Amino acid sequence: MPDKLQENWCPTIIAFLCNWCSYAGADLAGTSRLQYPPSIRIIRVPCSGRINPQYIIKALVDGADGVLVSGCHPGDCHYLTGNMYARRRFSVLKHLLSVCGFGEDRVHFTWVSASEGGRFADVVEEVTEKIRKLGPALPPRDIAVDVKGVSIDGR
Amino acid sequence: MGDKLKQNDSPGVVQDFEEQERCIRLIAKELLSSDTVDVVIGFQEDDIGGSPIPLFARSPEQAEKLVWNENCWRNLAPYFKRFDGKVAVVAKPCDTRSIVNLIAENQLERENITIIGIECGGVLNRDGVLAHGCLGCTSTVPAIWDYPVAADGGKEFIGLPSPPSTDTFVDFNADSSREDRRNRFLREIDKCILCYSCRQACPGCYCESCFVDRKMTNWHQRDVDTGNKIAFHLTRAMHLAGRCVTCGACENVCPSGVSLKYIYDEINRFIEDQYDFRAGINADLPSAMNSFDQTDRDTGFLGGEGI
Amino acid sequence: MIILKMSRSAFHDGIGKLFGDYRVVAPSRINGTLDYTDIVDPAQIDLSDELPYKSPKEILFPRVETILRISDDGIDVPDTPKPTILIGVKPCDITAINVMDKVFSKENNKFSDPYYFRRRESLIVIGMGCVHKKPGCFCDELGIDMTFSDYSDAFISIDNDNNIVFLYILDEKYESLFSIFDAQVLESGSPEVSEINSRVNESTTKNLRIDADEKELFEEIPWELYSESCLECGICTYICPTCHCFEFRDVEDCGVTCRNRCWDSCMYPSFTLHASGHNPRATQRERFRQRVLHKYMYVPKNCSVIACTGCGRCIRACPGGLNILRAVQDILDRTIFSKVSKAEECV
Repeated sequence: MPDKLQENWCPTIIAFLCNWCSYAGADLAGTSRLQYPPSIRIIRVPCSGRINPQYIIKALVDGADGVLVSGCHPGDCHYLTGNMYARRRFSVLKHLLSVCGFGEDRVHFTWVSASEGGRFADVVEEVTEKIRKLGPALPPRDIAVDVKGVSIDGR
Repeated sequence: MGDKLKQNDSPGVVQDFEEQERCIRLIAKELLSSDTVDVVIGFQEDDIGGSPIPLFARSPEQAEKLVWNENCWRNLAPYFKRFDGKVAVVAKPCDTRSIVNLIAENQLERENITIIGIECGGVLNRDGVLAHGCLGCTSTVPAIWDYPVAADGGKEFIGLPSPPSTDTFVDFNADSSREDRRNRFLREIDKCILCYSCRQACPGCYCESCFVDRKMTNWHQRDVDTGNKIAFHLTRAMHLAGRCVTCGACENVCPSGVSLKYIYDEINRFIEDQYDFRAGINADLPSAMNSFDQTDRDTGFLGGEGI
Repeated sequence: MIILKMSRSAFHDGIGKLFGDYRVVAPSRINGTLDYTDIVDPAQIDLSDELPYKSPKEILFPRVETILRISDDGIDVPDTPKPTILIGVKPCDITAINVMDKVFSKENNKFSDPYYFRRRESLIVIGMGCVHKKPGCFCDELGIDMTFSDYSDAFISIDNDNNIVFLYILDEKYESLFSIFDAQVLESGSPEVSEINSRVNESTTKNLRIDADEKELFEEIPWELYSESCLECGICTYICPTCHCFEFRDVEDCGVTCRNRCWDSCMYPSFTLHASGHNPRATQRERFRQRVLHKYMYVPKNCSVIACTGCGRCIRACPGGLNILRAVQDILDRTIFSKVSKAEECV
C-alpha cells in the first residue's frame, strides 16, 4: 500500500521476548540510553520455547504489521534446551508462511543475549525498516480473493 | 480390476484385489475365531452403492463381510484408538504409517494392535480418480505389519510401482512467485467452511480438546471469515509439522474440496531436508518437532540462511 | 395458473434483468461441484438434474449472521438483506424450506424468528423437478414427489431437446414480476404444456415418522451400532437442508462488538457440554440418537412435519459411511415389533 505509506508512519510490531536474555537485552538497551524506533510492543515470555506458533499466527491474523521473536542464543537457554525446540519450530513456521505466501516477510526471528543491548537496538531498527518498506498490513479479514463465482458461504 | 490404477507398464506387477480380499477374510476369521482379537476394523460394501464403508467385525461371520477393492479410500486410522481391547486392522501403507505415529506418540500399545498390512498401489476416491493421498505416495508397502498381504495375495511384498505424482509443490514453489503461492492458498481456504472434518478424519489430530474448541480464551471463532480460516489452517499445519503421514484423509473427507495437502507435503519435505526426519517410519524415534540437534541451522532467522 | 414458454436464451435474458433488484442464487458449477451460488452472469446457471452438493438453507439461515452491532455510536441492527430469487431448487429442498418455516414460526412455537422471516418474506423460490433418483436419495420414502412441489412460488420445466423453458407461476402475486421474460403465455391445460400437473399427485404416502416411547427408544435401540463409524465431523448437519441448531457468539473487533448467530451441530461433543464439565450427551451414541430423533420424532411432534426431506446429502457426504435411512428403518422395524409383542402380551 504505497499510497498509505507516509513519511513518518511507524509500524506496530509485536515482540515476543524471552525473560532471561532478550528482555534483559531490551532492558540494557534502555538503561544504556540507546535509541531505537518506538515500533515494538513487547510481550515477555519465560522462554522462546514457550512461544506457541499460534501466538504469531494470531498476531498476524489480527492485523499486526510485524512480529519479532527473540530468545537466548542456542546453548545459553536458561532452561537448557527451550530455544533448541523453538529454533526448529520457528524455521518450520517461517517456511510454512512462505509456502502460503502469507506474512513470511513480516515475521522475524533472532537471538539476543542479556548483554547485547546494542544488538537489540540494531535488530529493532532493522526489522522496523523492513516492515516500513512493506507498508501497513492488510488485515486478512479484508483480503479479497479473486475467485470466479463466489459460493454462497463466501462472505 | 485395477485398470484405472495401472499407471506405468511394468509387466507382471499387478495388484490382485480379489486374492487380497480372500486373504484378508481368512486372516480376520482366524484372528476372531481364535479370540486373538476382539474386533477387526476393515471395509464393507455400502448399501447405496458408494465406496466401501468401515466395518467393525466382532465375529467370524461378520468377517465374511470384509471387502477390499480399489474404492477403499476411506481412512480407518481414526478408529484405531477407539477400542479398549485387542484390535486388528486392515491397514493400507498410509494407515500403517499412522499406526507408527500413534505408537511413537504413546497413543497406541503395540501389543494391542494386530496389523493386517496390505500392499497397495493406490485407491480411487469417491469421484473415481486416484485419491489425494495416493498422488505422489512413495511407499506401496506397509511400514509395519503382523500379517502381510502382498499385491498378489502372497506373503512376500512384490514392490508395486508408486502411483504417479501430479502435484509436486516443490516445482510449484520454485517456479511461482509469492503472489501465486498466496493466491493458491487463499483460493483453497476460500472454499473452507470450518467444519473441521479434516481434523476429525486426521490420524494425527487426536487431541482431547482441539485449540479451536477452547472457547474460554477465544483463540478461535467459529465465524467463517478469511482470518479465522487462515489461523485454523496455519495452526493445524504447524501442529502436524513432522507428524503428517500424507495419507490424504483430510482432502478425501473435505466436503468443500479444500486441497491443502501440498502444504503438508512441502513442510514434510522441508523437515526431511533440514532435520532428516520422516513421520511414520520408525516408532522409536521422537518426531522432528519433539526433538532437536545442537547442530540445527538457523534457517529463516535474521541473518541466518534464507529458505 | 399462468405458464410461460420461452427459449433458454430468453430465460437467461430475463434473469439478467433481475440482478438490479434481486440477489439471484442458482445451482452453478465451481471446480466441478454443483452448488447453489450467487449468480452474476446468467450463463453460470446450471439447471442439470444433479442435486447441488450443499443445501440452500444458507440463503435463509446464514452460517454466520450478525443480528446486533454494538459500538460507541450505540446499538444497531444490520439492514434487511436484499430480496433473493432462488432458482432451480429441487423438491426436497423446497420441502425443507417448509420445514424451516414451521420450525421458526410462531404457529408451533412461542416465538417467531424475525431474522429468519425477514429473509424468508422477500424470498422467491423457483423450483425444478428431478428426473432421476440419485444414489442415497430417499425422498420417495418420505412421501415427497421428486418431480414437483407446490410450496414454491414458481416452477421450471425444461425441454432439453428443443432448448425450451416452461415457467409455471404458482403464486399469482409474482405474475407481474415474471412479465419481464420475453415469453409466450399459455394457460394450464393447453396441449403444449408438458405434463407437470399430471405428475403432481404421484407421490407415495410412506411415512418414516418414529412414534414410540422415548424411554424405550433411548434404552432399547442399538444406537452405538448405527453411529460406530461416526467421526464427529458434523458435516451431515452442515449440508443438511433442515438442520437448524445455532449458537450465539459475541465477537469484538476494533471497538465494535457483533452478536453473531452461528451454526452449531448436535454431532459435536461441545454442543451439550456444560460449564461444569458434565456432558449429558457424552458419546456419539447419544449424539446420533439426538439427530435421528430430532428429525423423525421431536419436530414431527411439535410442528407436524418430518424434519428430513430424503435428499441423501448426509449419506453421500459422510466420511464414515453412516446411513440415517438404514438406522430409521431399523428403528421402525424394532419399535413396530415391540408394539406388536406388547399387544400380544396384553391379550
